[in-house]
Amino acid sequence: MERILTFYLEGELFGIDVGLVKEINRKIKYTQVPGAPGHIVGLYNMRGQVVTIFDIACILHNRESHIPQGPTCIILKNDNSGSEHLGFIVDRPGDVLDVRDEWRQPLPENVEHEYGQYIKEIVRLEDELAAVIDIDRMFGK
Amino acid sequence: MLKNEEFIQEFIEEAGSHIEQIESHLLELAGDVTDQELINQLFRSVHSIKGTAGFFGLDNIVNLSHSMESLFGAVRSGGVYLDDLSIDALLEANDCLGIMVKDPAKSHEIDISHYTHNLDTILSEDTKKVEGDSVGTSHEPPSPQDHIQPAGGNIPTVLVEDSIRVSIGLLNDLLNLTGELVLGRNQLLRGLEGHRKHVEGLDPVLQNIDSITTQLQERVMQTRMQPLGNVFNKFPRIIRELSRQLKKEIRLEMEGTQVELDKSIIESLADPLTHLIRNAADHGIEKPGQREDTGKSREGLITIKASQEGGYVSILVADDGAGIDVNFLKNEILKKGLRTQEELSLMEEKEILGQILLPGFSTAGSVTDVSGRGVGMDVVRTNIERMGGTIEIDSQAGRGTTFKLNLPMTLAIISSLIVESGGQNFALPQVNLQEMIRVKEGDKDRSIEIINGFPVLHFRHKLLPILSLSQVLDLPEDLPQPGKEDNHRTIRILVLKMGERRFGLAVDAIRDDEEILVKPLPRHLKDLKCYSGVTILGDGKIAMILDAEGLASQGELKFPEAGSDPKKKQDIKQAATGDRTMLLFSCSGAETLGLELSLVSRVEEIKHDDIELIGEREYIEFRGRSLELIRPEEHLPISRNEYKDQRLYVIIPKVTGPPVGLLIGKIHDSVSLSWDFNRQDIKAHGIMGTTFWNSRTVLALDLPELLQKAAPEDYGAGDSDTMGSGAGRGGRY
Repeated sequence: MERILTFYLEGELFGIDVGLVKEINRKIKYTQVPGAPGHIVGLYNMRGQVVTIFDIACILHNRESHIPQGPTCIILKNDNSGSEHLGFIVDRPGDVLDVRDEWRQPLPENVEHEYGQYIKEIVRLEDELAAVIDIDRMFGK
Repeated sequence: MLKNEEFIQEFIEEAGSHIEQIESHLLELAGDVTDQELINQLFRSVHSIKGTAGFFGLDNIVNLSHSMESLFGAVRSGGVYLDDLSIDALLEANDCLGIMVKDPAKSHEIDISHYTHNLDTILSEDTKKVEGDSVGTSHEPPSPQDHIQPAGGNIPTVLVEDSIRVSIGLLNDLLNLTGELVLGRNQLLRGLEGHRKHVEGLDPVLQNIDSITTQLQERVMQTRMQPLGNVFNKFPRIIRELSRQLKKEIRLEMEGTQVELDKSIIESLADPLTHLIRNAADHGIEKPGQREDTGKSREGLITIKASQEGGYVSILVADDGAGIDVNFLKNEILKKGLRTQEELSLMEEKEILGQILLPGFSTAGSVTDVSGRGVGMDVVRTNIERMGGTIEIDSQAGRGTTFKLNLPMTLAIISSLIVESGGQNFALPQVNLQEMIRVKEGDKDRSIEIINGFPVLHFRHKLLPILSLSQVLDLPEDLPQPGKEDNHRTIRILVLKMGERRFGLAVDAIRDDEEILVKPLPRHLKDLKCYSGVTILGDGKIAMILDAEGLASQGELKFPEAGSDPKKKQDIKQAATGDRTMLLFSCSGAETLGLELSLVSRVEEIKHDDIELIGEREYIEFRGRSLELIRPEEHLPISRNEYKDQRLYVIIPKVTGPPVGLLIGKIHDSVSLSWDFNRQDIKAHGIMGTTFWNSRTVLALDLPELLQKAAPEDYGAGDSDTMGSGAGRGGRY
């Protein structure tokens, strides 16, 4: 059984494997990086660690980011590849859920490729669907 | 077995340092073969390797170190006298030992018979002459006693060094944590500033924490510091071998071996320094005979001098050799097409010397065994700059060449200037900063002009290209502040240096000096060339660290005008006011022709004999391809003669069709001339009009028309409408 953390992004419900999440920080102050790709919001100082903050809505919908200061951010655990920390902006976090197998659904065929390649699976919750994000794909191994 | 592996790792490290010691001691010994203390140390080092290797049953290592030990034993007892050849044999054997020690598991695969044979021969030949050897040499395989040697035999060194081995990873962690502690302390002090007086006892506590943190940071930084001697150590050996190989007499002098630098810098310095030293020996120092002819001593001198200046260490690598001939260098630069004649004419000598640091440059007249094999000076420059350092060259023909490296003492913490642009703070490493200039509007001594579309600052009779940080980074422009009159606006310009090059960076505001802890660029931002890293400032905010080189390339900065004198400035001014720079040349006849320099890709010097005739057309080989030649006089109404001189030139124009070359006899100059041609005088295809230079008539070439006539199949008449005579810049050009 897998546990996911759900979160809302532009009104849509998403989920990620809760085991990958280090912490959720609110009202973060970040530094913009002039010249950085459009989906990178900036860099955030998490107790002396530099965290690269992404706008995954931009990656999913392939557009530029417009995030005001002070957003809420999910920070991922350090993958073992180095001292790199990654995080991404959410509108608001949801719950931590145990996913039952019968909730899982394949990705509908009509989703755009741009979007679909970053989604691992769809999970049907009580009254809505959550798209579970493939973190490796999203941030590139 | 597992435990054994741990021990083996220890053995590798320990034996490795013994082998380094042996090498440096051997080289010292070459200077004074009677130095008993050195011989004792050599004996001990080899003995200790032998002992531990015996414990692991590494027979090859044991046997080779045994042969060496025996020889040292005999030397110690006075039985053997070491000559130059014996020292070479020992050095060779030590190298082999080093290879085996690095990978003990494979040591049995290496054939050591050559080395043991050599050593045994030295031993037996000498001992025949002197009787009573045997003291300290045992020809038996290591006895069980030896097995305990790793502990016993090493006691003296352990006691003397009084140190333990710590992994680099741990040290790095300590360094990072200390850096964070410093930042935490800064925040704490700032946050409690207002409460110091109100809370009893707080002030001394804060002061104490402050001072302890500073000391801790200094000490932790020291743990990573190593003396430069660690790199310099291998140079005597290199020089010894090079002087033999090159048949030159070279003396090496080293100063400042005790100067310390961060371990990572020390390590990355080895290659660039070796390259500089090889260069000095190969290209710098002349052959003994040559030196005597020019009134120098037979023996060449290479000096390496390190010294500390503030937070930086400077290393000089100097030779008293032939120096770099600037004129030869200019020719090379032209030949390689790295710069045009006109660009060169505007450069100062130092800047021209700086050109050898560009990619694709090798001054080697010929490729030798030692250097000039493609690992160019640009690699040295890149390595030095990657460490946050700079490199400068000074050379006097006949007197020698000096390279000066400036390096930060530590990679991790650098002093920087915090600047602001577009409402954001950036850190600029001090090493790149030469000076700061304030330019007030209306100031006559310092005015900013636009030349060729680029802003340039007139400053101390020089022209300094200017970049605006906001523009390069595409930041929102600073809004004019209310209350300030706009025509008294002050522009703050930081003069940045990169090697010999300088440019000005305009910023909105200059904040503060700050020691910053450099963190690498996050993986997803690696492609951004404007930054060299990230740092966390004292206020807890993240700031990007600016990279001067990257900014210059991002801003598409060009440096041709840098450092010109007032007369040359005049030329540039004319260029800006509608005049064009023309390359003036002659073909076989007497007429002077002109071609706009911006249409010239490069000029090659060729020999008449190089021209090949295929059918009715002439070709030369250029960069492995054949290049069709056009003789302009055959297509233009000008006089024709036979070329008498072997030396000819080929102008390769910038064309989009198949490359062609214009064969010409002589290059006169490149000058700025009025573009206002008299089009009435000569009406001919291929000539745009005439103008004057030094009271001579210059015929301005119309390149498109000329090519159309000369090679109609490639530059056919079909395009004539677009190519026309429109100043040679229409159509495909």
